[in-house]
Amino acid sequence: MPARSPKQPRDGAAADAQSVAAFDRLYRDHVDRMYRFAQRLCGSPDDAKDLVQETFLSAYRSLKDFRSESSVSTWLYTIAAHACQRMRRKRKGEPERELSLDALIPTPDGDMPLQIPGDDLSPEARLQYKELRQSLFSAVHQLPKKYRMVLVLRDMEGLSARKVGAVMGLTERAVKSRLHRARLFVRHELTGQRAGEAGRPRTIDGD
Amino acid sequence: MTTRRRTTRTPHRHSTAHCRKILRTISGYLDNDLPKSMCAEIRKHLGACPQCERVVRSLKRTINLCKRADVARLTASDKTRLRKEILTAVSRL
Repeated sequence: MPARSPKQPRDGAAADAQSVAAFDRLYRDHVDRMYRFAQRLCGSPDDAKDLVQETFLSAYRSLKDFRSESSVSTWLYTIAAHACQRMRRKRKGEPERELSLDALIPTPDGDMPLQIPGDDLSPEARLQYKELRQSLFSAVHQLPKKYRMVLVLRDMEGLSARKVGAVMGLTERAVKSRLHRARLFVRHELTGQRAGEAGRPRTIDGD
Repeated sequence: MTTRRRTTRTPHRHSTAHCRKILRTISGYLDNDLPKSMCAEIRKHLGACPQCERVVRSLKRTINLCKRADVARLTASDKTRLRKEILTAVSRL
């Protein structure tokens, strides 16, 4: 009976161990980033954990097919974006709507209160900043998903427009168009919400 | 003898159409994504149009707010639990 070569995997156990080791490296290096992305995208921590789980499960399955043409993080963002779409389809959310640029561009003649704080926050303004951050996430989650994904990837995760396009399968031009609408929408929600708070004049403009 | 050409400065005319045109491109301006000539035109407009200047400033701050908006981190126990659940799911495949 011929002796088994030491390199030969015994009933796949060695191969499995290699896969788990490769997965562990991937998981350890990227789970924080993916959870942050998932939270920004989903809003709730539970949904974010589901998305992280779905993302790394898909990543595990296709780990051996990964080609280093894109960075690992871009590859994971792409998997997460697809997983997010699958999860939403299962939940049968409301139909996607378009954001009209004309409706979002403010009328120059109208009043445009500047109520988003600057960088120089005083201690008491930090509390207001915390509230503002809540308002920001609320505004981001009111965005239709295709706009939200672009805003989160570009302005929160810091990806270039080209990489966002690679993740979402869009041209750079389409990314920039969606990004502009998304930013205007969030700005409108933030300023509108602040303006609606009667009797609470804001002094955190920093101007 | 050279004749000096008289230049007449026309005052900035605030027009809704022009402002809307500027505001359509303002994300590109804030991302330094536009040609120099367009940036110069936008800067010129913003200098003369306080309303657009305000919109641009608040849009810039919205973007900064997005960049700084942090979220909670995953706890060590959640990381361990998630890893275990993923590997369990993999083993069932």
